[in-house]
Amino acid sequence: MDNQYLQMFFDESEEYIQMLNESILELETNPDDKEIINTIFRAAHSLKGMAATMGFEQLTSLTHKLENALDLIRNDKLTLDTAMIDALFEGIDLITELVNDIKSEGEEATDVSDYVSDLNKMVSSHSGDDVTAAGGSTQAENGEEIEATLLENTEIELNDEEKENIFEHRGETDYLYQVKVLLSEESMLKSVRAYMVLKKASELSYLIKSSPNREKVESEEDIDFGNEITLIVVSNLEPEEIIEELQDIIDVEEVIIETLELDESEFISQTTKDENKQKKKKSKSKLEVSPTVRVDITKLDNLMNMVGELLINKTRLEGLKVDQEKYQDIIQQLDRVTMELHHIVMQIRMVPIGGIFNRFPRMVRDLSNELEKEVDLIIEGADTELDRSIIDELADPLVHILRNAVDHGIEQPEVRKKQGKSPQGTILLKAYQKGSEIIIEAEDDGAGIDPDKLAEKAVEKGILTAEEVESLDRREKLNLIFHAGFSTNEEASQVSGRGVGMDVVKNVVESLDGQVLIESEVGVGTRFTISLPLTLAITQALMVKIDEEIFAIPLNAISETLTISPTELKKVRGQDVIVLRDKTIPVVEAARQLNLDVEYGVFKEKNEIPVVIVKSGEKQVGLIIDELLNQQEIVIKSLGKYLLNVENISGATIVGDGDVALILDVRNIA
Amino acid sequence: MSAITEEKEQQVNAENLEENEGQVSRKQFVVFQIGSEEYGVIISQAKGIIKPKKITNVPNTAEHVLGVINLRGQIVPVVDLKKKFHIAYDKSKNTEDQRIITVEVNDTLIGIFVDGVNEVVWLEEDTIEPAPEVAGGIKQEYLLGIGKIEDRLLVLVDLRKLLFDDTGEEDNT
Repeated sequence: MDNQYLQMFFDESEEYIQMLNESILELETNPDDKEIINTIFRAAHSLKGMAATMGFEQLTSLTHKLENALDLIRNDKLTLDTAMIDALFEGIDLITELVNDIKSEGEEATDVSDYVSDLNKMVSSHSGDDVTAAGGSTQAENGEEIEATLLENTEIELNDEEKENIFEHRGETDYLYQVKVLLSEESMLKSVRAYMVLKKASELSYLIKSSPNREKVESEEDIDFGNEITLIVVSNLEPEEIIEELQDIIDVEEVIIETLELDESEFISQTTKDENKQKKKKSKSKLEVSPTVRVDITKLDNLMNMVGELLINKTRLEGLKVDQEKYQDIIQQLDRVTMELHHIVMQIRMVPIGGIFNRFPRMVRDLSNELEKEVDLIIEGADTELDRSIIDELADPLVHILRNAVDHGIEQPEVRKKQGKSPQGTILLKAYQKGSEIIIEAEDDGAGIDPDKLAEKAVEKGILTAEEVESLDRREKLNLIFHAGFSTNEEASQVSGRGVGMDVVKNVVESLDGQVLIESEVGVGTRFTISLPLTLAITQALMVKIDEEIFAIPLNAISETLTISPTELKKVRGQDVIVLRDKTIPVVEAARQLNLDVEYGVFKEKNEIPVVIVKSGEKQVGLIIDELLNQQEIVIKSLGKYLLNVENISGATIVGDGDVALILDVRNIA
Repeated sequence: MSAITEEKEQQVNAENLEENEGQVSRKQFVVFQIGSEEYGVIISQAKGIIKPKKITNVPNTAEHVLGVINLRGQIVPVVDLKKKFHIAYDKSKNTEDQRIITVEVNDTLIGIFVDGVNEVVWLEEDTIEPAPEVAGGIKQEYLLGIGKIEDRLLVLVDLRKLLFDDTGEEDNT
């Protein structure tokens, strides 16, 4: 099978599945909204069409059954309750499974027959009393037949666009015809005759589709299409009139005309008389499937790398310091162009975080049903954009946090009522940009986490000793949750795992150069805040000198830089500190943090000591360095597999003269 | 000879790396000098030979990691086998001959700092002797064997094992 079409099939089916999931969720809250049902119906229908075209039989029959059920719902023949919604969801899961089967094995491996029979039972048990049930299903079958006849009869397959066309051009008194025009065997220049037929047909009616189509007929080449031309037209003329007109054309031997019945249900969205409403709906559905160019992510990575190289070389050029007006001019232009280029490449790589947020409503719904909790998931800022490579990594940590929130955070409705809370818990998932960072917050109004309980647990598990716990403050106790092998629930439930949880979240986020914070109040709720850099590859950094080597400190880790004199250094419990605007900040020697082979403490003999205040979350530490150099854009490169997890170093970059400068990772210093 | 031509030459050679002439299969090795001993690595792992350039020290790494270099925009770690093998530095040794052999092991490019690259040789399999317990300060498990060319002995190292399996600091005195 053609790979290109297969890829298109995957991409599109993914979009339709997403649309189905979203719409059915919506339907659950607004069961009477016919618009939503129509959207679902159309998505299922399009899926069916695609599956049929590609020859995936299971998928076709499954979507067909779903379509039937939806048709009954639409016609109020089927009661919509949670069980029914669950059944629909299950169907979508099966569709997803089938598509995945095709993706991984090239064929449909999942058996859907059980589901199909379950769905049939479900449909009959949900269709009111028995009489209507019978009527309902007969009607569904009828509808099916009509549609089948329609498609069979036309001999030309109509796609959705063409079907929509029919509706747009069909007035109250119009008919839909299939016209077969037979040319005489001896006819010469058949394409000219065909052209005449098509031309005439267009004058008489609105031509929806023809076989051969107009482009073929009008192309210079002599195409053999036999003696038959088939047309689908919309016209207000009687069949006889059309036959008469067409037979006037030379060489036309016979005209056979058939009136086509339309399965109205198939086009229900277009039958609405309100034009405005129709347009509005169309633009909405377009938003959901935005037209895009799909590009292999590695190509974008390569592009990003090339821009990085360009940037490095630009910096090198700048370092040349040629004293010529022309040179300065060129450098400025080059600077502008590279910046712009960098900006554009970054933009291309950015995708809305909604791509992963979208799957959460469904997950939260299923989970809360399973746990018999009532949870309202509110999503804000789904259009916030992040670098593609970050987004991909972020899905799992967020799933974890949300599952935790539903499982451990939100209480059972009765418990909530007793505490004077609304029985329905709320989880707010919010993303927004703050400076050069993206913030993602997940907040629940559940039970909250007791820091002392966490501490107790840590002692129990042997992570910390009782004495160590004593010295921890509230925040540090809460942070124990990120410790490997930590789970707060007595009996780790099936839902949010067995202690492999928050430490994974922290690791992933930190590997993305981000941070995760936890705030919690017992009885009030818990909030996780993840902050991430907008993009990974290029960042602004402060270049500093430590022991004759140049190091880069990312700007987003710096709160300020200053120069102090030795007299400003104080000692608190043996730790050097400085007081900055009434705040006591510990200071450490960068060379010592890096275990460099130099004599420590020499800085105290200097008159001016350069200090970089670095931050990690709320913590601040003054880092004593030898010299502040400059601020510049750096291209972040990995140290590679051989040097994994080097302490306090997060990567390297190439500086102007082609040398390597290491990038300081201040998270464990601050 | 410039680094680039050396590189090219080796790539060409690498293509007919394992020739089977008659019954005897042979392998090609890059022979390099560390201290007073000669070592060999399989040529297919070698990617190029460059003159020493500025090596940026990376703190908090093992002692034998000299640091990283910029190799055509790629960050490449450089390993000093002398430190790895605990071979004393010979101050009198001519630094003119020093080179960095870049090798690809486990899909990772790594530089090996050597005192000199001597030649590229064919070794017939039956002339390669199994490694003794310790040779040239290296444990047996990191060796492919000992190659013999006339009266010269080549210590043939298994780079993959040497660089990736050995996590802790070596103790082979």
